[in-house]
Amino acid sequence: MKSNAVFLIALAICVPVGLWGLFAPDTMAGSVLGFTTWFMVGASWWWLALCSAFVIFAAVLALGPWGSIRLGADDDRPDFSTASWIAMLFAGGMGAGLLFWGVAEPVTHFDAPPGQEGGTPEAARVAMVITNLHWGLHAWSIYGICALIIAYFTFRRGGKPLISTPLVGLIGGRAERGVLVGADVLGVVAVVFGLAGSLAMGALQVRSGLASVIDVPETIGVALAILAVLYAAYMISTLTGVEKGMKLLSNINMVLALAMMLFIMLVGPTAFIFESAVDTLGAYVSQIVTLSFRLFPYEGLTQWSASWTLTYLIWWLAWGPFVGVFIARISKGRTIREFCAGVILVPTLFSILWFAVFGGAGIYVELFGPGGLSALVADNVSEALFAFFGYFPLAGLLSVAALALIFIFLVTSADSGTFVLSMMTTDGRLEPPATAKIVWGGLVAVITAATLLSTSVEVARAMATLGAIPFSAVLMLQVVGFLRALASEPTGRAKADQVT
Amino acid sequence: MMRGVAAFCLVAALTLSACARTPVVVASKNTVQDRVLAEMMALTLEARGFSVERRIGLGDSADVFQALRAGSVDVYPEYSGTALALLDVPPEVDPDAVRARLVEPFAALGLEFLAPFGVESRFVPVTRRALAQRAELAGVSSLAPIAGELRLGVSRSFAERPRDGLAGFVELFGLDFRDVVVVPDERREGLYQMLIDERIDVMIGFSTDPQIFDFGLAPLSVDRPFFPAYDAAPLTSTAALSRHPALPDALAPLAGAVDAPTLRELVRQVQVTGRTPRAVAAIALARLGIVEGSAATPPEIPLAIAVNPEELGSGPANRALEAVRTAMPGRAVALAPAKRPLSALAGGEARMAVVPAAAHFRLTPDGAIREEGVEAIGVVGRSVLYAIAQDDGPARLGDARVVATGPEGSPSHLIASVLTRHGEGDLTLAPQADSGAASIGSAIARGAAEAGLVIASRQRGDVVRLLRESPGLRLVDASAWWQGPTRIALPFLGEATLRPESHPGLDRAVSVLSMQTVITGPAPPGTAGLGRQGPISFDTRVQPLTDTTVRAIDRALGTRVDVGASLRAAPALVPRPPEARTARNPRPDQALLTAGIFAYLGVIGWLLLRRRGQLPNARSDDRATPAASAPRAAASDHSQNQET
Repeated sequence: MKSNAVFLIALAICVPVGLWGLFAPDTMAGSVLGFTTWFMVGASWWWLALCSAFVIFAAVLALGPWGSIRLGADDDRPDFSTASWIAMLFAGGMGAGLLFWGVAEPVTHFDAPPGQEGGTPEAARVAMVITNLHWGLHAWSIYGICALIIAYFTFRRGGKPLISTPLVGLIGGRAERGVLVGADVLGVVAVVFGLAGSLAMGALQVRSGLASVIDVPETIGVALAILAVLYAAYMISTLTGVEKGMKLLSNINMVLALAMMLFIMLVGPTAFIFESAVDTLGAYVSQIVTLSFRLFPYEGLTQWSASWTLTYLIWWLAWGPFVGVFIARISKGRTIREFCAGVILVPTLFSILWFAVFGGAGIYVELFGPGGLSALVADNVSEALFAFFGYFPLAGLLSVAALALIFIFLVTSADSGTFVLSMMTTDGRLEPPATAKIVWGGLVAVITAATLLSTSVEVARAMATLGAIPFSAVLMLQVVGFLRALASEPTGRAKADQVT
Repeated sequence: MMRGVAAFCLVAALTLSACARTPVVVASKNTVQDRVLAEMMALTLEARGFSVERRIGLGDSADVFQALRAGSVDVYPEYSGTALALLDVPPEVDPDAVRARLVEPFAALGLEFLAPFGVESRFVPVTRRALAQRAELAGVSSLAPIAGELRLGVSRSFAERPRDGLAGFVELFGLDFRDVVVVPDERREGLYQMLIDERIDVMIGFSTDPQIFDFGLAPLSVDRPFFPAYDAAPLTSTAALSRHPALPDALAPLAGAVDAPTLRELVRQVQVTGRTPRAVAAIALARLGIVEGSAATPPEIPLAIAVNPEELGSGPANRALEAVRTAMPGRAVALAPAKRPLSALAGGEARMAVVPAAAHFRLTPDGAIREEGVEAIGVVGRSVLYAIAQDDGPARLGDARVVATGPEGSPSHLIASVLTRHGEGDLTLAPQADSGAASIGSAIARGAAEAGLVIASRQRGDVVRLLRESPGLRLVDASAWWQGPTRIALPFLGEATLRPESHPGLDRAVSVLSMQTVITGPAPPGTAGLGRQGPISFDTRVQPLTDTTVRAIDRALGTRVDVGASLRAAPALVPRPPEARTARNPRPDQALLTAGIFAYLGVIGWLLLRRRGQLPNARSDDRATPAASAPRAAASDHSQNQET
C-alpha cells in the first residue's frame, strides 16, 4: 500500500525531471547545481561540521558502550567473509573514482595546494593528507552512519530496510505518514538520479579511456553502446542475486585492483611509496582534528573549499541513501564495533595505502622523475591515469586492466543501486522480486541514456548530486531515531548505573 | 675434475680480461646534436660489450680534435667540412670530394673517419621572416647592401674557425655588420631568442636546428661556395683502433642510420622537451633496432598554442612560444596554425591561443560584448588594424563607402561593424571568405570594396607581400574613425603610427589603430561552486590554466605591459576587486540560510530530547516483530555477563 505510493510518487518526480534534463539541459543543470552550490557555499561551515560530527559519532559508537551490540540476533553470524564484505564496500561505494583520482588528486594538490607554494616537498605532504581527508574517515563515516542505522533497524529491530524505518514513531500524529512517505520517495529519487548521473559520467569515462587506449571515436553512439553493454552486464549480475553476482564481481575487482596496486608498488619507487604511506598516516592522524574543521575564512579561499572538500562531502551524502542501504544489506551479523572498524577504519587505511601508491608514484615522477604529469593532470584529468601508466612498463596492459576495473566498478555500482531501488519499492523485501529489478534497472538505463543524449555533463553532475542536500535533512532525523532507539538498548553502562 | 677446473679458470680469466680491458673514450663537442650522436655511439658500444668512458661535451672543435690526437679520446662525432677547416685545406662543397681530400692528410696524422652517420649539418645564416620579406632577402649576397644596419650573432667556435668561420664569411660576402655578437658555445641556442627579440638580425645556425622551423625563421641560402660539406661521422685514431680493433665493426650499424629529420627531431626532444641526450639517444637506438630496449618514449605531453597561420614566425607568436616553453619545461610546446584560434581553444585542440584583443569580443545587436569564456594570460605584442585602399581611392578610411573585412565573426569584421554603427554616413561591409591580406587585397582590386581592413602583427608577411606586389594599393589613415562613442564601444583599441619606409610603398607616416596581442586561455566559471571531483565525476569542459602556470608565463614574459583593463585577465594576474568596505553582510540570503539551519537543528534537538511518554509508542511496537525482542533480552544478559 505504502510502497505503491512511494513507487508512484517517485515515478511522478523522476520522469519530469528526466525530461527536463533531456529537453532543457542548460536550465536544468543550472537550477539544480545552482541550488546545491548556494546551499554548499552559503553554509560551508555547516557541511564540514556535520560531516565531521559523523566521524565523531562513529568513533563514539565503536568505542563506547554500544560497540558490542550485534546487528542481528546475538547468535547471528556474518553472511559474507570479511574480505568479500570489504570488497563489496569498495565496489558499491567508491567506484571508479579511486582509479581516476588516485593519481590525479594528489598530483593536483601537489601542484597547487591551498594557500601555499606548489611543487615543494611540503606541498607533497599536504597533498597526500588533503587527499586522504577527502577519501578517508569522512567519506566512510557518512556511508557508515547511513548504513549502520538501516542495518540496526533491519536486523536488530526486525524493521524494513527503508530510509523511513528509523523515523517511525519519531514525529507522531498525522504528519508522520507524510514524512515517512516523503523520506522513502526522497531515497528512491536520490538513488535513481545518483545512479543515472554517475552511470552517464561513467559511460563517458569508459569512452574516453577506450579512445586513449584503442582510438575509439568519441561520439554519442559509442557512449550509448557502452551503456547498452553496461546495462546487460548489471542486469545479469543483479538478477543472479547479491550472494553470487555482486560478490563475484567485487572479488574480481578487488583482486584486479590489488594486482595493479602491487605492480605499481614494485615497479614504481617502492621505498618512496612506503615512506610516503607511513608519513601520510602519521600526518593524517596528527592533523585530522585541524583538517576536519578547516575552512579558509581568512585566506579568501572559500572557492577552494567549495570545489574540493565540500564537493566531496556533497558527493558522499548524495550516494549515502544508496550505499547506506546496500552496505546495511551485506552487514548482517556484525557488531557495531566490528562494523565501524570494517566500514570506516579498514577502508581508510586502504585508501592511505592506495593513494600512497598511485599519488606517491605520481609525486615521485614530479619531484625526482621525468616530470610532466602535473601538467597533464591540469589539462585533462581523465587521461592522466593512462598517461601515468606510460611512465611504467606494460603500460598497454595496465590501461586495459584499468578500463576493465572501471567497467566492473560501474557494473557493481549499478547492480547494487538496482538492488537497493527494488528493496525500497517492494516495502523493504531483502530478496526483492526480479520484476522490480527489471523495472528499476530499465528505468535507470533510460534516464542514463537521456542524460547522454542531452550531451551535457553538467546535467549528469546535477542529477548525481541532486539528492545530497534533502537527504542530509532526512539523515539527521534518522540519527535522532537511532539515538532514541539506542537509549532503550540495554548496555553495560546502563546496567552498571542500575546496580549502583 | 681437473679438466673442469682448468676450463673454469680459463673462462674466468677470459671474462676478467674482457672486463678489465681499457674503456673506449667517447667524446663530443658541446652542442646538443654532437652530444646526441656521441651518446648513440656510446650506447651502441656498450650494447656490444665495450666498456665506455664518456667525455661528452668536452669543448669546442679544436679542443676535441687535439684530445683525439693526444690519445686521451678514442672516438667522437666530427663533420668532414670541419675537419677540412681544422687542417686548413680550401673548402669543397661536394661531400665525396671532401672525404677523398681528407684521407691522405688524416692518414699522415694517424686519424681515420669511420662510416658516416648519414646526416649533414651545415652552417646556415638565419634571419627573421619579416625582415627577409621586407628587405627581400634570399641569399647571403643580398645582405651586403643593408649589412650596415644589421647585427650578426654567432657562436664562439664559429667566430674562431680559421677557414670557414666568421672572418672568411664576412670577407667573402663583403658584409660589414653594424655589430657582431659572439656567445659561448653552450649558449648558442640563446641566439634564437636574441633573434626573435630583435637584439640581433642575422645569426649563424645549424641546418639541423629545430628552432628554424619552430619559430618560422627564414634561412638564407649561401649563394657562393664558402661552407664545405659537413658529413657527420665518427672520427677515431689509428692508436685507438689498435687498442680497440673491433670498434669499426661495433659502430657499423650506425652507418647511414641517422638522417637530417631524425637528428632534428632528436635535438628537439632535448631542447624543447627537456630530455637528456642519453635518454633521447637510447630511444632512437631502440627504434632503429640497434640496441635492445624499450622503444617506448616516456609520455610526450604536447601543448599546442593556436595561432593564425599568417602569424607563424611573427614576433608576438614567437614571444608567446618562447615564454610558454620557459614557463612549462618538459612539455613539447608548439604553435598550431588555426584559422580561428579561439575555436581551436574551445574545442580542446589547443591549450592556449595567440590572438588580437578584438578576438576577446563578440558582436551582438547591442554592440561588442566581452567573451567571458576566455581570459588573457599575457601580452606578447601589438596587432595593427591595417586600412588598405587603392592609390586613387579614399585617402582616409572614413571616406570609403564599402569596406572589405574578414568573414563574419572575425575580429576585423567585429571592429568594422561597431564602427559602422557609430560612424556617420552610410557604409556597407563586404565580408570576405578569409581575413588574410591577400583576400582583402583582391577584394579591393576587383572593385568589391573601396578599402579593406586587416588585423595583423606589424609588418606581417602577407601585408608586406600584398603592398609590394600590388603597387596600386597603399596604407591609409584609420585612426580618425575611432572617435566619440566608438572609443567607448571598442575600448581595447589604441592609436599608433606607422613610420615612413616601414612598409613597402609607404612614403609618409600613417596613423592607424592598434590593440594588444595576447596569449589567451580558457576561463574558469565565474562563481565558486561544485567542483569536478567525486567518486564518479567526469568533465569534458576545457580546464582553465592553473594559477601556477599563469604566473610562470607572466614571469617568462618579463617586464612587459599588463593586460588591458578592457580584457578579462587571468585571476592570477589581477587581484580580486575589493568588495565594498562594510561590515554588513553582503549576502542576506546566506543569513536566511543560516537561520533556517538553526531552526532545523532546533526541531531535531526537540525531537531527540522530548520525553518518551509523548511518543506514540504503539506504532513502533507494531513494527517490531516478536523475534526481535528476544535478542534484546539476550543482549542484556550478555552485557551482564561482561559486567561480572
